[in-house]
Amino acid sequence: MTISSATDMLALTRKSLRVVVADNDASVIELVTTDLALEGHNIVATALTGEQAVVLCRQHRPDVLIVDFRMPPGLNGLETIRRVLAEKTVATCILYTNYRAPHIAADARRLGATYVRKGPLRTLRAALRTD
Amino acid sequence: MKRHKDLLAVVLAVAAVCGIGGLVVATVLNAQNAGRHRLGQVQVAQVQELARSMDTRAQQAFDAFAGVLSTPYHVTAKDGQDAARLQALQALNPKATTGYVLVNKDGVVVNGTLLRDPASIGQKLDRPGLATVLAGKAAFLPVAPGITTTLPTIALAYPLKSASGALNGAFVYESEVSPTSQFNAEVATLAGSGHAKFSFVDGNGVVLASNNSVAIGHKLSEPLLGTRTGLLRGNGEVVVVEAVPNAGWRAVFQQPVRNFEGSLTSPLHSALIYVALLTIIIAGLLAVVLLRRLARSREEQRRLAQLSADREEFISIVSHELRTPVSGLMGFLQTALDHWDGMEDSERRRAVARAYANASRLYSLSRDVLDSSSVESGQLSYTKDLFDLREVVLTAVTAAQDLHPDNIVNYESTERPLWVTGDPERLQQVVNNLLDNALKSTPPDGPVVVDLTAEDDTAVITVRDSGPGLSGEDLDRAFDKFVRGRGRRTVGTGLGLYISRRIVEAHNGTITAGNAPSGGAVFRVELGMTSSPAEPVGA
Repeated sequence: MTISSATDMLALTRKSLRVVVADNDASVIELVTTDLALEGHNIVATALTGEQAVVLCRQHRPDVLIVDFRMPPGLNGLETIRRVLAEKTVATCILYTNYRAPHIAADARRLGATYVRKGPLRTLRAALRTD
Repeated sequence: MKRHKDLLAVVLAVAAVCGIGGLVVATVLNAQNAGRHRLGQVQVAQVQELARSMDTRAQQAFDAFAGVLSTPYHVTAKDGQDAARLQALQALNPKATTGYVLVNKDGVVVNGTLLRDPASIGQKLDRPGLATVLAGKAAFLPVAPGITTTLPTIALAYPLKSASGALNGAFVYESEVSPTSQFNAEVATLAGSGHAKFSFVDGNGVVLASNNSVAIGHKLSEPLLGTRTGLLRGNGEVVVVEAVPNAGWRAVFQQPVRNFEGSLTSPLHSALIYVALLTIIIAGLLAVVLLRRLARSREEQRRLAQLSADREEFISIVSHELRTPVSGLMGFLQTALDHWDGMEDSERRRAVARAYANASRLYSLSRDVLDSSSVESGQLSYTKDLFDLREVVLTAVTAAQDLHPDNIVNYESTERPLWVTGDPERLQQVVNNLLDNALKSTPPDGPVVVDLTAEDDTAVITVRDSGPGLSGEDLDRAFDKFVRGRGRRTVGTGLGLYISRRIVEAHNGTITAGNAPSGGAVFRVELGMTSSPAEPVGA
């Protein structure tokens, strides 16, 4: 059995999650949605701003919201997470960002979200698996 | 806060200078006081010496008359023997202008020489102090009108005794009080420079001798002349008073303070003024210089802090901007590798294409960073050639469309060649930057429009986006270093347009930014055309 076949088999046995992806960089959205779709997840919507993400979560009630931190000029990722959790439109939130400031990770955890630094996709895949 | 620290430093420095100046002033004043004290001591010593000398002479006079008067006088009116003895005495000093007088125990004149009025005999001699003499004590009588001269006189009065030893009268020797008297001659020789006055005054304060001739015979007008002796200061004068006890007189020295201390204080005052002026000038200059130096130093600190902050921000921006395409490159390759077998051909192609697009982006960013350094040092290199600008623009448009397949890039070009002498790769870099900015500012459903035309001898490239356009501030700073757009997302190092302008200007062209009437930003590049190898420009 090849590694790629094992990966595919793992994808078949994994729970498929309904996901909304929000990032102001369209290329990041494309990468994450492509990879997670190949992982077997269902990307129900994508957003370029925090406000769009809040509306889409209200609309689709996804299992997971993956959101970037810095999305000027509107809501940042933590503000978006705070709103969707308050509205109870999403069960699980993942803050997916390049920013390494310790307070960002601490703030995310305080809100009950998971902090994942942008890098190897395996980290993001693993975060969805634990969900 | 820093400004307060600067002011505090300046104040402390000025205070230090003033402190030093104050110390110098205090030292000079101290020296002046010491000098004044010493001067006073010297003057007191001089007057004391004068008083002692006069006192000795007074005593000598008493001693001399004691011998002369050892033989008793009859002390009766117009006694012949008494008169002969008086005449004999008078003859000892033929030039004398005053004479001798005998008075009885009642103070009545009984005999005399050089009497102005012979009728004085039988009259009471009205002279203050005579009663003391008649009581048995020799004394110098205070200044009073004389009877042997018209001038005021002092008198040496000696008690007379009879053969039995009983007091029977007094012997009075008058001496005139005048500037020309022999007695005054000695005082008059004393140096009176700088308005210095030396005088002898009797018990009533009347001047009996002085180097100030107008004061002789008059009461000395000196408010300080109380009963004290020694050095006195007041009313702008220095006064030294010493007693001449045997004569009952006082020696008095008077001089205005400015003359008394002038030789000492005048140069010191000048020195003090110079020190004070110098202190003020130095303190003022120091304050100005310090404030300027501190201001320059603060400005330099601010500049360096700003440079450091700019550098830090640049590093932060560059590292962030580079991280994005690196993540994209690795991410799409990782996805393709991990899911290769499960992907459709089109999905694989798309993943590899996206990886390539991110690699291109990485290349452009790193090139911009390196080029900006070359631009700063003036070492951006060009390889110039004659080429058709249409090819360069078409290549850039095609690459942009490939990298952004979801965007619409409309391109219109003139049909005839546009020959330009320049570096085609650098000019393509310019068009790439303009397209990159336009695509970042344009939503996916909005087109980016590129036009390439000729206006007389000038080739014109315009790139128009469908974004929000440029604000006034953005227009002013569009081509500055590190200025990043405020489109859908703020990305990029802020170096693209800065480098583009440098490249265009190196080709003697112009690049401008503006807003299109229909909305969106428009960038315009103008480059001078060259004659083609086969046809002239404008044909």
